[in-house]
Amino acid sequence: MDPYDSQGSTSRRRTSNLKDYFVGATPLQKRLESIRRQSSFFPSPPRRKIPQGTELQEEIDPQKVGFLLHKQWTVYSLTPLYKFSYTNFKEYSRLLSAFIAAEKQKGLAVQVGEDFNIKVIFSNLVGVRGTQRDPEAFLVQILSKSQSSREHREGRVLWTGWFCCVFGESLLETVSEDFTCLPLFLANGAESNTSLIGGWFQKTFDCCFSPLAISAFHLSWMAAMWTACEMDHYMATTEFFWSVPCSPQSLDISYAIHPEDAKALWDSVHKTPGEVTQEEVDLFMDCLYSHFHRHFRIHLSATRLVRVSTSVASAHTDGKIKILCHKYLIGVLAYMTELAIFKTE
Amino acid sequence: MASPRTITIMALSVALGLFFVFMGTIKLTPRLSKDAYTEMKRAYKSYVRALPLLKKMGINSILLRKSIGALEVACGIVMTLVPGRPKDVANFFLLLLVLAVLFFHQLVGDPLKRYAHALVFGILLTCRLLIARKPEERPSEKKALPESGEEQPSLYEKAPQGKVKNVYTVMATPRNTRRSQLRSRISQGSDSYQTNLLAWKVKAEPGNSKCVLKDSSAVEDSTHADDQAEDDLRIAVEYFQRGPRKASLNKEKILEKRLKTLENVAWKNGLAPETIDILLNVALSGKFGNAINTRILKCMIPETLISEDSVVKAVSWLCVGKCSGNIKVLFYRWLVAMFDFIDRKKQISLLYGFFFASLQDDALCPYVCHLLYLLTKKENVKPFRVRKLLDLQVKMGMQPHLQALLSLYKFFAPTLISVSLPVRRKIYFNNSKNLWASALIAVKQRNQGAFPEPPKLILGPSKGRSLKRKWSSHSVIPALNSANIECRGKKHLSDFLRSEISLPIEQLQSFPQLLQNIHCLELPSQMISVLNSSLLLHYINCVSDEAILLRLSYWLSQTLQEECIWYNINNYEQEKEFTNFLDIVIRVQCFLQEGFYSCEAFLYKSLPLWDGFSCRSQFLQLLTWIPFISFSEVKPLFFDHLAPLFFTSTIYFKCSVLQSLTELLQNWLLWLSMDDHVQPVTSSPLETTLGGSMDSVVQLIDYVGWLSVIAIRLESNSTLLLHFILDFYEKVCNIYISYDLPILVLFPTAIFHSALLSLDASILNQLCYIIYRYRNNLTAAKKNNLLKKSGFSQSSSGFCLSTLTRHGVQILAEGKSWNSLVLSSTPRAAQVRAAVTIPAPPWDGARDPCLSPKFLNGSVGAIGPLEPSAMNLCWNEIKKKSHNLRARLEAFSDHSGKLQLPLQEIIDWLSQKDEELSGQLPLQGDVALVQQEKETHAVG
Repeated sequence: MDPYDSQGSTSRRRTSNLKDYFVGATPLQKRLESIRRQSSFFPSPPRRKIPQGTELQEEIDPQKVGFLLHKQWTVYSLTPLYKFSYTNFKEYSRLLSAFIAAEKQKGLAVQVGEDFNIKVIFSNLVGVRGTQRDPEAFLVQILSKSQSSREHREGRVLWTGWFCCVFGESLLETVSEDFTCLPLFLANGAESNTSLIGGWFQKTFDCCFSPLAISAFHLSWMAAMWTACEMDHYMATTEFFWSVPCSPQSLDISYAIHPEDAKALWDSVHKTPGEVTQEEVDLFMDCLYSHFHRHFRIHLSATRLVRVSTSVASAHTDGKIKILCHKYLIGVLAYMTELAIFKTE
Repeated sequence: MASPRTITIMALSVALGLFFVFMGTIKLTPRLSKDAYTEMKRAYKSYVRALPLLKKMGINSILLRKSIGALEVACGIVMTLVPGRPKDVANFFLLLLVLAVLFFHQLVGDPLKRYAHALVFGILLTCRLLIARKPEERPSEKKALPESGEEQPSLYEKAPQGKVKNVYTVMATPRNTRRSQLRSRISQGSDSYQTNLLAWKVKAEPGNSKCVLKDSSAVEDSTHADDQAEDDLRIAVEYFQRGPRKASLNKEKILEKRLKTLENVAWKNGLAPETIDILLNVALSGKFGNAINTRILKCMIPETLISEDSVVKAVSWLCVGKCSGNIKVLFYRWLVAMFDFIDRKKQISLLYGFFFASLQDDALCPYVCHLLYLLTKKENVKPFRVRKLLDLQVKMGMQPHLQALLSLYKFFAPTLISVSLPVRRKIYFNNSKNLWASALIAVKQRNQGAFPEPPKLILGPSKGRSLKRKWSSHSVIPALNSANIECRGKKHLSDFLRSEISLPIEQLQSFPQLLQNIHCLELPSQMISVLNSSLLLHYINCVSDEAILLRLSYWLSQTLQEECIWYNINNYEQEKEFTNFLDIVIRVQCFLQEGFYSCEAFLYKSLPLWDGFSCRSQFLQLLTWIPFISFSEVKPLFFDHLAPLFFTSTIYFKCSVLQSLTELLQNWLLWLSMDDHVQPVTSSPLETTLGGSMDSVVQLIDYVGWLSVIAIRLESNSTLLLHFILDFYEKVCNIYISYDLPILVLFPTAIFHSALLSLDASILNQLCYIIYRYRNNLTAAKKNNLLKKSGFSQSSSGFCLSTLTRHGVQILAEGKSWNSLVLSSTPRAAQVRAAVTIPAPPWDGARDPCLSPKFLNGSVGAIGPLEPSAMNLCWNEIKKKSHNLRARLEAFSDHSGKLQLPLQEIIDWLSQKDEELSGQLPLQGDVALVQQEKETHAVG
């Protein structure tokens, strides 16, 4: 028994006043408070809601949503944007298109507002948010103007990226007014374009991108939550990929289940209505493991889960995600936002 | 072309030349006139006869006649036909000849009619010579004239620019005095200074200049040389000013000479602003040929400065179109090279439009670009200019000079133009300065910071990121780029006001500049770039804008997390990068004297995963900057993870952890003591908070004490470790006096004992110092406590002191017993005194718990009474050790008296305490109390 601990009880009582000393000041200090709180217990909350179609979703422009679905997005986490304004989209698109044109032809200066063979469009994604307090999502598209067909105003889409924040407000109480917090950034297109545009955003809004990898732990959460979703009809099988890190080549194990079977398994595991708990997730995965072990004598728990795909969405550990179901778009984004916020905090 | 003077000279030359040819021929041959020839023969015979000297030299009459004749013919021909200088020489020779002939005539006593023709021609020759030599005589006449400003109109009427010259001569006088001042500065104190100055003064007066100057120049050779050079220069300048004279017979030579003078002076000392003004006019007005103009331009090296007006005048010559393309190019190059030495630039800036228009000229374009690059300010960047430049770019393609200018435009107006420079290119302009490289250095030395060089933008490849790296990797701290306000959200009125006068970050180069512009600084677009700029860190240090700090902390926390090497297993190179990055962050924290919040958060997150090895020193340094928080809060986040690492690692790790904890304590104490003064003392909640924070510090000290006791046990009293522990307590013992905080924590007994019994003298020295400081602090605290007894009855300070004093007294008493043991002459006496002084059960001295052999053997298990024989053995050991200690101490104090003072004071104080304690009751037979005492002194 160390002498220090014996003193602990008395000292704790006395230092409770010190907390007042720090509380309630600036956002920075609040932020730090939340970090201290966070790191003291396990980072991921032990229970979450099963995603459900919210009423907000009705506002979403179906054409735009179609744009977001069935595409592979690379996910990035993003620190808050400084002095970003939703009213300046026109100006941003002018600047960004000039910037891209200048970067593409190294050394040749271009005039802002000139007619380039690319077009940048900034537009709002109305309705892609959890609550009214979430900042609105927005979409950036880069189109190539085809020289041959002038009548086609819509050119080929070269690159798409969008910024969103779904149910992030509850996690981000500490953002001051100069900042717009859109912690989740999804991009689809050439990596070089992403880096160009990301660089521009970093320079213009003093933010910082970093790729958002999804750990196996979170993948199994996703698997469980997405299996739990009620579907009218299933579009794809539920599929898992495990990777066995062995030389010379890594071994991949694919495990496909009929979605209705997966749902049946989940229903048998699931107890608390409307919520998913850590125990349920573990149990669900254990069931799958034991089933696999019975057939192939391989302990999947010793390998690494790298990909999960369900009818709702599919996610890869590299931070790639594809959303399939229109109904659960918000739910999937909410979880991704949570991951991104956890990363940037 | 044909002035009356030249016609006269021509006519005279031809006439005289023909005459002498005729005369010579008569002397040489009888063909022209037989009578005359025989007459000549006779005359020369008589000459030779009259001069016996000639005969002695072996010259007969024929030789004399023939040679004189030949000379006359030759000189005549030259005078008639050959132009330029030979004419004058021939003239001169003929004059001599005529004189000689006159002499001969006189010798033989000829009548006047015989030599009248020679006399006439001699006079004619003299006249011609005088007329021809006139242009050379003129300047020398001028030199003879004093500098009085009064000029002879006859001399200057013909000169094309008499007015300017007038100005020059007037200006030359102040220049003289300036030069003399300059020199006087150099030769201060020497007596030559007096004469020198006198000479100059006298010279400045009209009239009696020459003689006085002669006197002083005998003394001062160098002065004379200088004068000479200056005069030469003045002559040369005037010469150029007057312009070329085509008809002059020896024009080229003079020109050459003047140019040489000019070049020498220019490269040696530089030219005064006035001279440059005149010569620029000459060079650009196209009076002389291209080659000469080029040479003049090349030697336009300023002594110190160039006046703005002269540049403006010169530019106006460019508009007239009198000078060729090459001269224009050279002028622009000169302007670029000398740009720093132009005294003011306001009017030149007004000419921006003119320069911009000259971009059209293909040959001039690179140099004009460079000039514009130096000149361009924010207000010069206009949309029409941008368009013009872009058109030029289309016409000429990607020229580096255009690129540079365009990127500058982009810098000032990012909303108008966009360009990205290629990474590899480093040089954008041909070096215009290489023509004048050495001269420029000399000029700079002459100026010696008389005026600071204007801030210049540096176009660097730093703007582009290295291509190899991935875009989202962060370790590279971005370069400073000022933010363009236009593209950030709505513009407020204040933004408009600010952007008018704001100073871009890139132009910030010195601390005074920062101070002047601190209210209108354009902050960088990426706030984190301040990490690399020491100037901006000053700004960050005093800024209170939450947004700035937030921007910093967002970036920093993201980066730290992203790059952290024990999160993602990466290669060696990345580790190095991360280490460098951490080093930068630590340097910044040391500069700001506070820790970043994001670093703290990073520590909390990453410490549980740390292996205790990678980036160890950086990590431990980060640790020292944890902001002050309640210890009970930080313990589970931080110390609970650190402790296992601490116990299982090597002694070096332990030492470095202790060191960083020492620094942490210091930072906390500094923070607290600063904060204490800032806040009002009267508010009641403060006392409790202050008490709480005191408590937090005490807990930290206790915790470190606990750590070090275990560490000592683990490392078996290593001297190195002890040293670091005592370092920590050196901070601790002095808190009351140094930081004015009511904290006094004594060290654990185990540390005291192992320090006391250490075999290293330096440890003992340190220990003595610590005890001495404790004593000072205690007495100071006691004094103050008495003073404010009424205020603090049960407050924390009172608590700290009262609980600790007793404990401290006991320890110090122990220490005293040891010291007295060491210092007293006989061990026996010491034993007796120890038994008396220590509040212990009245047992044998050997059984005293303080002197228990546990300390010596380190056997923790041996608790309880020991056998008497074992006791005696131990006692003997103690005696032996004490002898050793004493011997060492004495040896040590012999060498240096350092130990003497603290020890003496301790002894004094202890003997005083002795008496106090002897008044107290001994513990007697109270078993519980004895047990308690034993436990207190038990190790661990």
